[in-house]
Amino acid sequence: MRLNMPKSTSRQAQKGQAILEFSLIAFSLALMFAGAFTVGAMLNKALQVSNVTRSAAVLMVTAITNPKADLNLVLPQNQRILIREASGLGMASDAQYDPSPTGNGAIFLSKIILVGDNECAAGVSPIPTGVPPWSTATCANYNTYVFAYYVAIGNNTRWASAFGTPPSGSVQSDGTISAVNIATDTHVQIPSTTMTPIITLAQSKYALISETYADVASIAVFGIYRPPVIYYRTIT
Amino acid sequence: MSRIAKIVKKDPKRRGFIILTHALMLFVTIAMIGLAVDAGTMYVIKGRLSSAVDAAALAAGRSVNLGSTVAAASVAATTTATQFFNANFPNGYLGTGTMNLSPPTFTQETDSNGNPTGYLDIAVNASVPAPTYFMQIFGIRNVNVSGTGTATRRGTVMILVLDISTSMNSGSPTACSQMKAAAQQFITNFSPYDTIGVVEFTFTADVLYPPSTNFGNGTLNTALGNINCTNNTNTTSGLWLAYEQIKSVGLPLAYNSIVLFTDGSPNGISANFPVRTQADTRYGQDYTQGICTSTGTPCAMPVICSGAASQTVRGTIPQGAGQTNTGGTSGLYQPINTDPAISYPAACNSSASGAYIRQMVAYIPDFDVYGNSTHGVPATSTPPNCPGATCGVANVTLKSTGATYYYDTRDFWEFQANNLCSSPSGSAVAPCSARGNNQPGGGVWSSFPGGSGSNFFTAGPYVGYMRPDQPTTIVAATMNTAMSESYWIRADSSGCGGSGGNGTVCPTLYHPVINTIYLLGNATDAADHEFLSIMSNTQQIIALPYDNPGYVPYTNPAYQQHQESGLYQVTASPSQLTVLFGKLADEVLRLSH
Repeated sequence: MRLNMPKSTSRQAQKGQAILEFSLIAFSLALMFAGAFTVGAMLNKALQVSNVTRSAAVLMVTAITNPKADLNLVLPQNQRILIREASGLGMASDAQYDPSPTGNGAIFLSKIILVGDNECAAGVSPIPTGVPPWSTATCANYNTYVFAYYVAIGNNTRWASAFGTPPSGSVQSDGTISAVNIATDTHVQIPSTTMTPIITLAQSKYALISETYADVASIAVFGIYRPPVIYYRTIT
Repeated sequence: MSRIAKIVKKDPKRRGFIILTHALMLFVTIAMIGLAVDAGTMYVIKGRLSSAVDAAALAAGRSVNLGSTVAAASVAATTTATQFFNANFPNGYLGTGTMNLSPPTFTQETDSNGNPTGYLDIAVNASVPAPTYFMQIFGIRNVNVSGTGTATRRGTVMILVLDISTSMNSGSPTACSQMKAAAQQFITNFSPYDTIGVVEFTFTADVLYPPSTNFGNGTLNTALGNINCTNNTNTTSGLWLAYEQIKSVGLPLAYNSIVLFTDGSPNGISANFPVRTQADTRYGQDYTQGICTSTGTPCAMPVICSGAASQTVRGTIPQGAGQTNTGGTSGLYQPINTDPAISYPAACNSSASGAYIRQMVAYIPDFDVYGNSTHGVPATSTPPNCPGATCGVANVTLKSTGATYYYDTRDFWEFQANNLCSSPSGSAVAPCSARGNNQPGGGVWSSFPGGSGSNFFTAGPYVGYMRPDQPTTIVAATMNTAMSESYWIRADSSGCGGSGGNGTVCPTLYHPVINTIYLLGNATDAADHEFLSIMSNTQQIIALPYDNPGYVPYTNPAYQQHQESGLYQVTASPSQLTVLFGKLADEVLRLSH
C-alpha cells in the first residue's frame, strides 16, 4: 500500500509543523511522565523501606531470641546489613555502608512488653515479703508497657520512635534492657495512651516493633511534587 | 504573519496529525502508565498484607498458651492474631475494602516417616479488595489481593521431677503445699500444644502424670494437688524416669526439658548390690541384734549370705535418720514403682533387710542400676579451692576396673552432723553459715573433718569399696549418681536408637535441658554449691542464699560446653517457689517459642 503524503508540502514546513504540534503536547507529556516517574520512584522507595523494615524485624528476632547467634545490632558492622539493603535511601555515611547519624533515614528496633508476674520475678531481688501477688509497690513497672530492647540506627536526631526513647543509661550495650530495669526502672515505661491505640498486649506478652523513616525528597521531578517522608512500621 | 502561521496555512491537510496521533496513543499510554501505577500500588498493598499476616501468624504462635484447651487456645490465638494484623494493616489502608482474615490454622509437622517432630506450623490467610485508580477506565474497580503468613512454633516437652520427701513437710504452710501450688501455677504458662508430665520421687520414683497435651483440662492440676510428701530422696531414679518419658514422647525437635525441684541432697542409691559373703567390721546392727547391738560402734558383723560372692540384689538403699555413721539406713526398695518386687537371694536371710540391710549388702558398686558412676562426673576444670578441704574435684580410681578418672566427685566428702541450714525465715543459722559461707565446692560439706572417716572400707575383704553402712556415704554416692545421670541425660545417646544408654556415646537426638530449682534450708540435708549447678550444666557456680556478699562465683568444674545448659535457681523461702517457677516459665517460653 502506498502512503499518500501531501506532495505540495515542503520538508521544512513538515518539520515546523511537527515541532509546533509536539510543543503543544509536550507539556502534558512531561507532566505525565514526571508524575509517573515520581509515583513509580515513590513506590519503589516505599517497597524498599518496607523490605528494610521487615529485614530489620527479622534481625531483631534473631538478636533477641537466639543468644547463640551472638548478633549485637548496636554494633555498626552489624547495622551495615540493613544499611546495605537500604542502599539508595541515603542512610550510609561511607562506601562501607556505615549508618550516617545525619543521613536521610533512621531505623528503630524495639521490644515492648507488658510487665507481668514473670518479669517482676526476674527483675526484683530479693523477692519482697508477701509476693506474689505483685503490684506497683513491689515492682514499679508492674502491668505497665516498657521497653525491653531498643536500638536506633541512622539519623536518630531527626526522627524518633513513635513509642518514645528510653534513656541511654537504661539500655545495655547490646540494646537490651536488664531484667531489673524492665521491672523497676520507670524511665523505660511507655504510656498506655501510646500503645493501646496501636495494640494491646496481655501480661508478659511482647511485641517486636521495627520502624523506618526515609526522606525521599531527592526523587522529586522538576519540583512539581515534593514526596513526603516515608514511614513504615511492622509490629511482630 | 508569523512563521508558524504560514506553515499551517501552507499545509492545512497536515494540521492536527501529531495531536491526533498523540490523542490516539494517549489512551494506550494512560493505560500502560495506569497499569504500572495500579500494579505498583497493589504490590505495596501486597507487601503490607504479607507483613501483616506474618506478624499475625507469629503472634498466634505466641498466644496459644493463653488457653488451657485447644479450643480456648484457638480463640486466644485468633484474637491476638487479629490484633497484630490490624496493627500492621490498618482498616482502609490505601483505600482497601473490607478485610477477610481467616482464623489461624495449626498443623503438627511430621518427618518423612510421618512422625511428629515437635514443631507446630501456624498459618494465617487474609485477603482484601485493593482499589484501582487508572484501571477503572477499563471497568476494573478493584483487585483481590491475598497473603498467607506462616510461622513455626517449637513445642515444649517438659517433665517435672518433684521431690516429695518427708523434709518437704517442714514449715507452715509446708514446703510441700507451697511446691504443689507453685507447680499448679507453673503449668498454666503452657499451651495445649505442649506436652507436660510429672515424675515424683521418694526412695522410689513413679510417674505421677504421664506426658500429655491434655494437662490443661484439670487432671494434672488435681494430680499435683493430691501429692503426699513422705519418705526419702531418690533423685537419680526420678531423673532417669523423666528421661524415659521424654524419649517416649519422641519429639526430637521440641524443647525437651526436665525441671527438677528438690529441697536438698539426694539420699537413695539404687544398684545391683553384691551380697556380703565375707565377715568384716562395719557399722550397724545385725538382724538378731545378738552380736551387733548398737549402730554407734563398728562391729564384727555376722555373715548371713552363703554361696558365690558374685550374687547381687537389686534395689535402693536410702539413708535414714542421721547423716553420720550412727544414723540409719533402710531398704531395699524398688528404684521405680514399676520395677519387679525386691528379690533377695536365696542364699541370704531376707530378714536382714530394712534397718539391717547393712548386714546383707557388701558394698556400693562402682555403677548404679542405670549405668551411672557412683563416683561422680568428668571434671573439665579445677576449682579455685583445690586442693583443699572442700575441693570437689579429684582423681578417682574405680575398684572394679582399676581405671582412674578426673572427676567432680563427692567420694571424699562427709556431711556434717550439724548441717542445719534450716531456718524457715531465711536467715542463716550458725552451723551453716560458719561452715558453708563463701566456700567454693562443699559449703556445708567438707572432707573428713572429724566425722565418720572415709567413705571407703580401709580394711577387711572389701577394702577400697564404698561403704553401704554409713548414711553419709550413701548420700555422697547418690549425689555422684545424680550428677552422672544428669550428665548422661544431657549427652542423650538416643541417636543410636534403642541401643544407647548411660555410658554410651551417640549423637544427641532430643537435646535435653535440665532446669533445677533448689529450696535450701527447708530442713537438714543441704546440697553443696556445685551439685545442682552441675546438674543444670550452668557455666558458673553461684552463691547460695546464706553466702555473704563477698562470695566470688567460679567456673563450674564439670561444665560441658557441648551439652545443653539449663536454668538453676535457689531460694531459702518456700513462699518464693511460685516466683522461681514463674521465672523458669519465662525462660522456657523464651527459648522454646
